[in-house]
Amino acid sequence: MDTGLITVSVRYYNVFLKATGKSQETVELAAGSRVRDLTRTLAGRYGGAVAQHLAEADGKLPHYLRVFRNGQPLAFDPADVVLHDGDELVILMAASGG
Amino acid sequence: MTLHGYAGRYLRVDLTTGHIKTVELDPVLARTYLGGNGFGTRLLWDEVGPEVDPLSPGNLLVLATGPLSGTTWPGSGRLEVIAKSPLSGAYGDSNSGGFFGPELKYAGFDMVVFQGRSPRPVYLYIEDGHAELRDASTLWGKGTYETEALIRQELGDPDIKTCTIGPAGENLVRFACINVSYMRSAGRAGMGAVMGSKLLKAVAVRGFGGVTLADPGRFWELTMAAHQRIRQNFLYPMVRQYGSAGLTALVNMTGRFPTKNFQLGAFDEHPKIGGEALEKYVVKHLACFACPVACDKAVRLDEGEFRGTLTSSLEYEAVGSLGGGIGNSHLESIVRGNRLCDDLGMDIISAGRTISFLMELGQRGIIPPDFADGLDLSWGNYHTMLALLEKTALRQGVGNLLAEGVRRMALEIGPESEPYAMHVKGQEIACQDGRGQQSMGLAHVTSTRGADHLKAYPTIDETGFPSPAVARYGEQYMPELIDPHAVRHKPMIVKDGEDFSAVVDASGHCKIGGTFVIAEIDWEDEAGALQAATGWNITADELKAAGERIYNLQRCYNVLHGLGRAQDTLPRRMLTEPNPSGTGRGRVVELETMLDEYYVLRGWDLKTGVPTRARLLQLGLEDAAERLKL
Repeated sequence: MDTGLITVSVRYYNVFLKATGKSQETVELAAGSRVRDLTRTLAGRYGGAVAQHLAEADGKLPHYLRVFRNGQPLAFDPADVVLHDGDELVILMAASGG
Repeated sequence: MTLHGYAGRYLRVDLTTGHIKTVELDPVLARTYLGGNGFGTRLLWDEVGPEVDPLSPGNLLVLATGPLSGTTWPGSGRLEVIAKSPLSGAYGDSNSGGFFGPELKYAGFDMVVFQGRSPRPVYLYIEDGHAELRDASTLWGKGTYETEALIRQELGDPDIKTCTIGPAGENLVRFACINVSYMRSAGRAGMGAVMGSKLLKAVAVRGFGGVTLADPGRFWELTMAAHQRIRQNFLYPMVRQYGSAGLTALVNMTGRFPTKNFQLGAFDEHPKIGGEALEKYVVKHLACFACPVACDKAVRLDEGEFRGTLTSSLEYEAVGSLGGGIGNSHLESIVRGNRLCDDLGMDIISAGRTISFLMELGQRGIIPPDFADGLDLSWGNYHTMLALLEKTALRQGVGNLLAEGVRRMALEIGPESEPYAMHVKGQEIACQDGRGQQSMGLAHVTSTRGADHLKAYPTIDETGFPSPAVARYGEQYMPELIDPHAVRHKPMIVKDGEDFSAVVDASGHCKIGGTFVIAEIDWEDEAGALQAATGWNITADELKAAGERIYNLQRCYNVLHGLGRAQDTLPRRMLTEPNPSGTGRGRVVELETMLDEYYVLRGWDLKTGVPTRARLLQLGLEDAAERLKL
């Protein structure tokens, strides 16, 4: 049955794990939603540091954000990428080094 | 004449005779080689020939600072240690944070050069322009933590800074490290074994002087601006909160997390051991001298099997080496292993790799089940891991074999083991799988100290942020430059990283706090800081030439020891076995293509990998060209 909704799972690491207090959750969104809709939903839900780290500038998501979908990295400005029901997303702030 | 930015003097200590000499620093040497690894490279080139065994009295051990050490420049607490490496048998160096480097300058010396071998265990005590050798017989055999505490107690000063070795250094474990106050290490390339071979247990220093600057006002302006940029950098909150262990998740997703001795590029259980999991044991954020980041974490276990364990510097490489590398998801055992490595005085990267090598040989039936003194070599057996660390440091049983490093282990065990010995030029490969990031594959090969991620430190394409890459190299190199799987332009960033790294290590500051990670300090910033510190009218281009000079002389030193293109290679696994994990899946390191381009950029001979005479003359290295008969 088409409910007009999709469900995606979101896994958090580093600053997002700390700010949400969760390692993983599922989020319901309207069918046809994009990454931007997800990040706005999360920013509204958690506020604080989550909203700060996901804040858009000129309609773009922060360049330090890395979003993976089903194990593959999305483009550097993934705001317009359309999400699908069952997508497994990972959101993290990407550092390098080691 | 005041040499701004420098103490202007250094110590030469002949451990064979006990004679200590103070030497004026040559201003030309300072301008040409800057300090740190620049000084050490020149000393090795001039004084330690190919006939010298790394563990013989003929090797030098150099502890060197740079013109920014001990200033307010971000992360200026670094100390560079240089010697011929007992792992590669050629150029070796290692770099440590902490507080020793600044203290040495405050005591009035830019570096200390040790030669010979003491007839009995000793330590060197330096205080405000004076130095003396003291008996260390009662310290011999003790761990680094106790040694440091006993020296402070003996000298009656809790603020004394030390460099110490543990039992591993005393027992000439080829990857022994030097521990540096407080709780930092010069980990790589076996510098602790060289120190142990000289019966030098420790160096202790106390200084009450300062560093004179040519233009203190300008230097202060630049310093404060740099600190501010670092604190405002988008990565600052994350690196400060989790340290490098916070990278674990991303590295797994990109298939660059060596698991089970590089058989896999990701570890399913990584969330149990990454920075986020570790956070519950963090009791304090620790900063080195003049560091705005505090990436180091003090970690304590208050309950469980390893209750009472306190350690620090538990970084990404520890999580990788004693975790995924051996298939171990027991975080508390990694904490314990980290403490053991620090106290026994061993490089955790190499130590972990010797164990993962042994476990893979067990898995493949190349060694018999009872090979490791009856220890179970199953993946993830952390009790075996902890037992092997102790056996290695003490050279007990099978530990005597592990203490030699994987290259020599493979020679001893037999040719069927060799493909699984993960090293380059004798040094074990860190937790950076080049199959998931081509530039890293090249970096391991072109590093002058054997396999290493920190010489070129190619962070810019690791996560691939476009904006810093464009700012540093220009739009024309996009998008390939930031694609970790593309080979195009990667030789350029590896070469640039190596030259910049040579300068940063020579100047005396940190590669995490502002240069390669949280990258807010570039060539122009570096030149500006050095101008204000030294009074030299040094440009970014001149600085690039200095970095290239240092790196080329290190390469020449390796050529002198028989290393060239034939040795510029990777273990077979990296070149022929596709990475099975993450976004690196299906890829191998495309080495030869990158290596050709790298040699062209370097001005090295394509067939031999030897620097050309023309390039050496451009860099003022005529003597190297002559000595190599070019």
